Amino acid sequence: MIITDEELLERIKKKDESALELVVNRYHAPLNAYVYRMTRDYYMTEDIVQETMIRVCTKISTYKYPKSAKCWIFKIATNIMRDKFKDKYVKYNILDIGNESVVKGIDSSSHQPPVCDIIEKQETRNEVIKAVLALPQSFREVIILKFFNGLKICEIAEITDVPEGTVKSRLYYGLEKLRSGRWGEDYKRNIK
Amino acid sequence: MRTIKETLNDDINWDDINLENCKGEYEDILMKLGEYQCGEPTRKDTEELFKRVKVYMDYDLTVSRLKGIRGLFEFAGSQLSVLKTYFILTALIIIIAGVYLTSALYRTERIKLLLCVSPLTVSCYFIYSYLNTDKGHAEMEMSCVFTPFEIFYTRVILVILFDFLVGLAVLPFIPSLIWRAGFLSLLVSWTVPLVVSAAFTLLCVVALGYLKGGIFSAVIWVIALAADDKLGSWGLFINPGMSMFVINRVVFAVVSLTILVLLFKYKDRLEDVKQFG
Repeated sequence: MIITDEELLERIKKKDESALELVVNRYHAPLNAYVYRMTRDYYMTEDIVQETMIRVCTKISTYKYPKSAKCWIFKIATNIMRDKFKDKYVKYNILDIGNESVVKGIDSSSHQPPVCDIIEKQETRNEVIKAVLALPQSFREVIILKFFNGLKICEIAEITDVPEGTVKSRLYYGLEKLRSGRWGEDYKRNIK
Repeated sequence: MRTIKETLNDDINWDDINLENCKGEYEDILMKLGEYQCGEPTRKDTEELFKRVKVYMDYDLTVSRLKGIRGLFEFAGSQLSVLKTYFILTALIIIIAGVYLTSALYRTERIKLLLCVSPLTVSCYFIYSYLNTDKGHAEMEMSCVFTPFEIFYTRVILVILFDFLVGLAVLPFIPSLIWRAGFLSLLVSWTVPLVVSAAFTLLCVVALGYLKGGIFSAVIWVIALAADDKLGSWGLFINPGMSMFVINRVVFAVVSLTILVLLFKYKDRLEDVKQFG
């Protein structure tokens, strides 16, 4: 029988370490992916994910069963990130760089493609990274939660504290903004 | 009339659009977006994260909550429920001592003691006594045979004796420095309103006379109580003494009223004692 995330949070309230371990195992990768895509900084991602898990422990009394555990945890991560983004250093240094070289475990396949392919792919990827990072934070949040974390509109609305209509319009305008960006233009030119 | 945005939102089923199934209007952009990759944490990373996080399971407060003055106030507030019992116990000690001491005192001295214990109650008593007793005014005058400063310092000493010193005596048994800081902040927030409330009532009575001063100070205390009730936890942030002030007022008002009832019950007997010794 699979224990739901909500039940696990209830068990954490009773100081159950095994439940906490399960929650960490289940949410480490999704949170890591979400935060990394938002920040593109490995060390900051590690810091924010750890802070999120600590808050899951320390603020567990504020969780109300049977509210969605996924939304609750992602909301914590989102709030921590928003606080971090208020920092000018983070805004103008970390978010502007998007240092791909520090990503762990990326492209770990044993098969090595030709060097020119690697360079071309890397260039495309850098363009995508720049375009996504150029999006306003609120747009980036909904696009990453929707397309990379696979959350539903209602869940994103709960996490980001905005109505569902706003989430939809942010998705639409976010994608349009990406399309109108530089790599979007390149793509359009190539398919022509 | 529907806006373009509303029409757009309703016509697109966003929950069906994803990177794995990118078709239709957003196909081009989603295929590109698929390049926005990220690495997966290893099993070792997850184990290390769990080790770091599980330490916090037994903590009720995050480290960030203790940062700054606001953090200290929040901490003090969170500990309020734990220390409430201690304050109520000390309050009861004061009341029992007060009842015992007043059993051999004259009314004037009893008024002085009441002023030390509960300014709100004695304000009401001033008004009642002034309006309903022939000798009301004289009694009030006699009650101030002691100077206001004497009454004020008596109140301060009472507070220090039963709260601050007992609190300090308990302090060495509190293991953590943070807990000690929180406890001390509570002691201060407990004692300051007591002293301020006594001083305020005295000033009112001295400046406006017994009747007006009594009414004015009683109204002010009732407003303060109501305001604190409305402010809730923000009241604690604005003034850390406010919540302690409420407990102080409620406990002392109840017990002081009990003393007053007892006094009026044995009024005749007390008059006899006063007249014939």
